[in-house]
Amino acid sequence: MGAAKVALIVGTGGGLDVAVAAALVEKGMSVELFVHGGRKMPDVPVPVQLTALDITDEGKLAAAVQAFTERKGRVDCLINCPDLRINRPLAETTAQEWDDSVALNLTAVFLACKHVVPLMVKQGAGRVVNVSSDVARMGALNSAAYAAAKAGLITFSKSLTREVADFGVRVNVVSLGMMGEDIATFGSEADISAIPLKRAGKWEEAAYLVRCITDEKLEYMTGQTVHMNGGLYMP
Amino acid sequence: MEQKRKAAIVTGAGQGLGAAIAARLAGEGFQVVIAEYNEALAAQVVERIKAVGGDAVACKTDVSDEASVRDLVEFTLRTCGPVDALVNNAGIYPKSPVLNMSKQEWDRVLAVNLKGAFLCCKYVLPGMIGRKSGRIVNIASGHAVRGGAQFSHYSASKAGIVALTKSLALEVVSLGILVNTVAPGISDTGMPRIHDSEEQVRIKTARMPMGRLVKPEEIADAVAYLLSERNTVITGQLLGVNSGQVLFGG
Repeated sequence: MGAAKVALIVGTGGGLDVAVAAALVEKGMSVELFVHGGRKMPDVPVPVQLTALDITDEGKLAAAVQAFTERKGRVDCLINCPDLRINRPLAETTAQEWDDSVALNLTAVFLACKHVVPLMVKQGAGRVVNVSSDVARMGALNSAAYAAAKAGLITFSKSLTREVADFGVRVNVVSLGMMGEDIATFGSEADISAIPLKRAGKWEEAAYLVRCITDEKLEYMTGQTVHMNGGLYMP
Repeated sequence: MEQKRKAAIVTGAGQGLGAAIAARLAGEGFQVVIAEYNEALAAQVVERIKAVGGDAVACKTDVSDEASVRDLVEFTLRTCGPVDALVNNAGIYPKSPVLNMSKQEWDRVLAVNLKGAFLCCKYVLPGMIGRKSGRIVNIASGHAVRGGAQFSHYSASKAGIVALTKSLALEVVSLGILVNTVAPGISDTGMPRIHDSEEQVRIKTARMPMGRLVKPEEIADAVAYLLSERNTVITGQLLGVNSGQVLFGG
């Protein structure tokens, strides 16, 4: 019997983090979750080691990755799903809010990849899944800071794909539509009618897709963006 | 009575594409503010525009700095009047692989190329919203959708530009403000020569669909159209001006 695969999830403690952790544990993986500090630690119903830290602080993130590497010895999957969305017209968005959106939604993922992917390169194998949002492609009212950062994340992932393709590392993006409480928080009942499946997605559904993409049989899939949105957006 | 010229701000207009756009807009009758960090370059652009009868003025600007952008817009209001058009062209183009890139370089590229565009939009919008009129063009790149190796920060910043355009366009379309992105192909300016030798540029030129680089004036033409009154309904779009080098749109 081979050793369990090791997965590291980097997130902001939301519904997706927990669902992905549960989905990966269900598949027999050994899972750790880095949760952006200052947020309420999620209640994870499966055995997952949690580390709270400021994922936008390179020094702290690097140290946490180092400690993780010493504990686990390897990393097979890196799932980056930090998420911060504020509802504000662009003209009223403060520079701080802009900076926060870029730092959490985009820069933190760059940092996680920068510090974790070298281990995958050394192993000659690894799967990176970065979670974005269909807002990046569709645009959305009062969400310019979020849309810009999430779009940057998609294209960052493409660049990284090219840089690590020769080393057995595959990088893909999962881009989500309205999930969980999004309709209540950012949309309206009218938005539901625009979704063919007439509802928001469940975190478990997105987590299943993320897990699928980490499958080692999908060796030929890299640089892709896979959407899940109930049909709301069909690229 | 002479009709007051419309005012346009072009960022990063000290050279290359930005200078070509500024010259084109001056030719269209705009009073152009050359928002540029390099004062010597900005002064040369102003001279060249004035030499052919155009109207331009320089304003030293660091688009990544909120106070500098606020000053730019206030300067424009004092000197030229309300801002009718904005071209977010300022950008930097360093090269590093993700696994070996300093956070400082990453942050700098995102700050100049993407946050700069956000800040300029933020400060010109109140005036445009008040007058229910305005035109914005943001300059991106084929990298925005391709994601070039060793240009992850640049590519991410340009992808962010495309998305910012879409979201902002939706917000202000009912207020008479149209916002679009232009993605130039490799153009015959200093930019392709930042990282490539002349021989490498020659090879890339031969591979371009028309066997030549795009002229900055050709890109400026597209920008000028999108900023003009002739553009009445085009908004939120990404227009590639690249001889077919990259085909956008799914």
